Amino acid sequence: MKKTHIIGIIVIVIAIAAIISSISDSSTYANFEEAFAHPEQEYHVVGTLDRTASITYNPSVNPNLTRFTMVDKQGVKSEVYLNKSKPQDFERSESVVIIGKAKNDAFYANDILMKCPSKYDEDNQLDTASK
Amino acid sequence: MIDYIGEHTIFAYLGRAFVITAFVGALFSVFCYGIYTRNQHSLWRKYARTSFVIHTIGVIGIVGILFHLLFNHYFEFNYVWKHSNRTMPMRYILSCFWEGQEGSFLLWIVWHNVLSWIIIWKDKHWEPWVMCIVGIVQVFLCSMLLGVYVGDFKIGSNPFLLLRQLPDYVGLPWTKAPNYLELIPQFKDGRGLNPLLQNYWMTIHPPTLFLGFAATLLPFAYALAGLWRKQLHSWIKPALPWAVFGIMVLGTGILMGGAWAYEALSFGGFWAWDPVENASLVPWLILVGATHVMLINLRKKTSLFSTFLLTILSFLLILYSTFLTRSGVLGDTSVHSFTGDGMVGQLLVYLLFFVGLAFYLLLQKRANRKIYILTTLILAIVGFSGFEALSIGLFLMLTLAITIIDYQQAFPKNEQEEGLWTREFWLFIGALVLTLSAGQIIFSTSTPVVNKLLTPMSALFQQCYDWTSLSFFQTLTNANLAPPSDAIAHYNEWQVPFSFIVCVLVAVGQYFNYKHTPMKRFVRSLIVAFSVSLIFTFLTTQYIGNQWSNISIIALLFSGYFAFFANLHYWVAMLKGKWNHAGASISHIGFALVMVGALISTSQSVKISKNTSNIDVEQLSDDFSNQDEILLFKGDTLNMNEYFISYQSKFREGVNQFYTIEYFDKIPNSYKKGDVVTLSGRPFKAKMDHIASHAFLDDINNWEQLHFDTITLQKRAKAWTSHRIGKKLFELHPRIQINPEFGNVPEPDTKHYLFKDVYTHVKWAELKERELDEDGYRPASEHEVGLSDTLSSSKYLIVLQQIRLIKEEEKDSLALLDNDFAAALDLHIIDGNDRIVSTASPLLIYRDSSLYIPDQFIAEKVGLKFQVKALNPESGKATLLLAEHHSQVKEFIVMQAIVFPGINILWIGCILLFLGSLLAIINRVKKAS
Repeated sequence: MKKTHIIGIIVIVIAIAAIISSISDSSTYANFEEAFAHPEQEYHVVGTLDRTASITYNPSVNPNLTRFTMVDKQGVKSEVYLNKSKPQDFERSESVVIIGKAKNDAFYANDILMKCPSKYDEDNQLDTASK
Repeated sequence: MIDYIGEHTIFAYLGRAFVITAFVGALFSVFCYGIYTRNQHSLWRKYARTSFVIHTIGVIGIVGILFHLLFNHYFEFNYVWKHSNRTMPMRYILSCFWEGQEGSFLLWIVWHNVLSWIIIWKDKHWEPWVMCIVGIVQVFLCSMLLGVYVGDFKIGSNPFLLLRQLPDYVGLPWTKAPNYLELIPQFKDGRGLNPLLQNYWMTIHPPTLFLGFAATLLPFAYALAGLWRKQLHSWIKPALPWAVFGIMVLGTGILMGGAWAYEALSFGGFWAWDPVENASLVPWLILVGATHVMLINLRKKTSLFSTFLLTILSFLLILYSTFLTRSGVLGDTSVHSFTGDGMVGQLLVYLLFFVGLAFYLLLQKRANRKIYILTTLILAIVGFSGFEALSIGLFLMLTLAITIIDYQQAFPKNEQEEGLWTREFWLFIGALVLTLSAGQIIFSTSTPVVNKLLTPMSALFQQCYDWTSLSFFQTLTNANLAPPSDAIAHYNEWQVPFSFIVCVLVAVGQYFNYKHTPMKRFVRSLIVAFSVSLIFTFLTTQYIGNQWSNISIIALLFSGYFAFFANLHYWVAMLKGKWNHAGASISHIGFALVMVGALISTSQSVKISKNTSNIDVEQLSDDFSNQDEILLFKGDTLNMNEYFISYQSKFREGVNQFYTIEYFDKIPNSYKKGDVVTLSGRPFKAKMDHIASHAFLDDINNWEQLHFDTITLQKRAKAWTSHRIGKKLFELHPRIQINPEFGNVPEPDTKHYLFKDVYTHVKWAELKERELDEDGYRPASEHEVGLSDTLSSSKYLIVLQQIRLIKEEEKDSLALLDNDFAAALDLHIIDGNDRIVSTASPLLIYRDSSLYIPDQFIAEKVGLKFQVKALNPESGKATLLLAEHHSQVKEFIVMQAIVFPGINILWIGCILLFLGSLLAIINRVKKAS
């Protein structure tokens, strides 16, 4: 067997392994229903902040904990415990992605990504002025 | 026509005209160069150059007008209004220029122009072919600024659009008022720049990065020109300096991005494997690989196909990364969160066009080219008729298949097997490992794209799942992959071994000779570097940081040192410290230092802020951690790792709210024989003189416990502490930029030492003054409490002792009526020393057993106000409102502090990498001429 063949085989094996590992390491987007159906499995849940419910962040109790209610894309609400300080301008966020697991009645998120309308949906700004 | 008052309409027309000039100029130059490559009439070359001059004039015109608009604050222009405002310092006008999509494309176009003129000036031999390819790219980029509609398909976005011309506003009444600029107050000032970008990095990072992007075009253009002219080797020599230039500039750009993230953004590190960072790292890795196989080719005619492939890929990946970051496809996966301005389709078409063009030229057999172009056209029709994902997937598979087939059939190959102990063989392996590493990163980064491509094939995967019931296929069927939750762990799992191999190859590479290496000499010259690296690895793990438990990290550290010392040795001993050929050695030394510095600073970084207050979040979920942020009251001094820190004051400068955090030295307490201290309320007496350890238990033999009845002693005694506050070491001023338009943005501050950095970041602070009621109490918070439950206020703990019904005889004294139903909540208010400092008994009153009477209980001494809102007889819990007096609430901040050891090694490495590449370019250019 020639060297190039050996190298070729090694490369293919590594490439396939990398792809499989990427796919199996990857988390999954889900809604609350799925997340609560499979507790202990990690999910990304996309939704919006429920502004009618309160956001609890009490740093004097624990600066690493924020509690809020989120509505997923199907309209299902859930309480969320976030292991982070309250993100800046959280109230203004337009859409949120939380990453974590469901347990009992709540979702326990390790991380959050959020988008603020003012930053990205830039054209909305002048509407109020013009009407 | 309406004659608008105060509007600088002329520039809208002029700008538009320049965009069209630039576009048409580029198009004509492609056309003329194309004809020249066929007939070699110098007249056509002249036409082509003239067209390119026109193109350049157009570009200069666009840039000039855009700057003119920005400098003069013409807010009737959409671009100016969106990206700038009057209060902004002038230096940020540059940043505004390239903040927007249009401006950044413009920046890219400008760099392509600069580089093109160097080609036209310096390389007459390759100019027509190379400039033809460059011209095509310029046509596409200029079209990104056109802003015209073909049917429903929008091509480009015009930076000179007036706000009233935006599709959203066209037809609204105000757009028809000639004096709308005066009528609408919003036109007086723009929205300004996103505060994250108001930073000097924003003025230097994008131009550098885009110059790097632009530099990858030239090796690509040379490679395609070589294929086009059927000169498969001679393009490499002129392309090589550009490739090294690309490595240098793109590398610098990427590391600047890292430095920006580290210094000014809140990532808590310089690299987070964020998709946007990955998207620019991957082309760089491929470019490094391409450059190294080019080097092989200069000596020996082998690895030709990989040279083409990698050179082509490096530019295609730049386009791909532009597509990823600007089309909005990354959407929910990146903190950078770009949204597409309806450019997805256009960017995708461009990307696929260049994929098609490059691989079409790579095919050597005419028949294969015909098949490729025909099938592609069919797939394009399929794609445009609504099956985008399917046709793109098939197109990529087709490209792959036909490239392999054509390579087997027709690509010139070197049949001679390379020797194992040769430089060319190991250079090739190095390039291969870099490619694999890049492939792993880009695949993991592309999950949103992978999802889109998987969707049309889900039926197939469902079949596979039905046969095999492997959950892997189930995942593919669902096609809703999200990025790995622990991105850093995921990437490290792969990138640590890859980096290890790369570092070892970097170490030994230059010691191999081309064609044949005498092994004895090889081993002898490396043995010194090898041993020294072992010693350094040992010393590092002993004295820097303390978390060296992971064997693969230690191995990587060793390989980094090995790369460093081997190249240093090579430069000093083999090259006798001369600068002429030192480019490779010095840039490799730089690379090794970047690896070592990155490794030490990230693997040994310690979050020294740790929450020590009431609720333990780790109880809530296994994945939760307290070890992140620390609560710091104004005026308090806290023990944090090796420091005492204190937050004493804040000050405001313009839009920035600064917080002064002082760091103090920590001095161990010394106790003398006979000293009495208390610990958790118990008194102890020192048996001998000693210096305190970190924990009392370690010193337990030095103390004897006293009896509780020695109250007098206990009162005198202070609580045991391990350390006392020493002298002030430094102070930091992390800040929050107040920006009502975009939201407030915190910015860290860092103390730089030679061997470590102390990074400090305010994560949360109360910026608004809260409303107070007439008595000076803050808004109440609502709590559910049961018996013996504990609530906490800022200063006190509140325990519910009992819930009791108010008896008839008590009612008078409490000013209740006879038919009132009333219950009292007996509360104990406890201070930090476990003493009951006050009690409170708020009442729940129902008049005539139905009408709720709000009643407030004020515990003035402790500044707390209570009100019972409801009682639930079933659960036995009460709903209690608790309000604190403003004097009781100390101001506080929540901050994070991280120590990064050895990060300066990384920055020194960056500089050496830059200098080494520069030397290599100078040397190559000298050789060429």
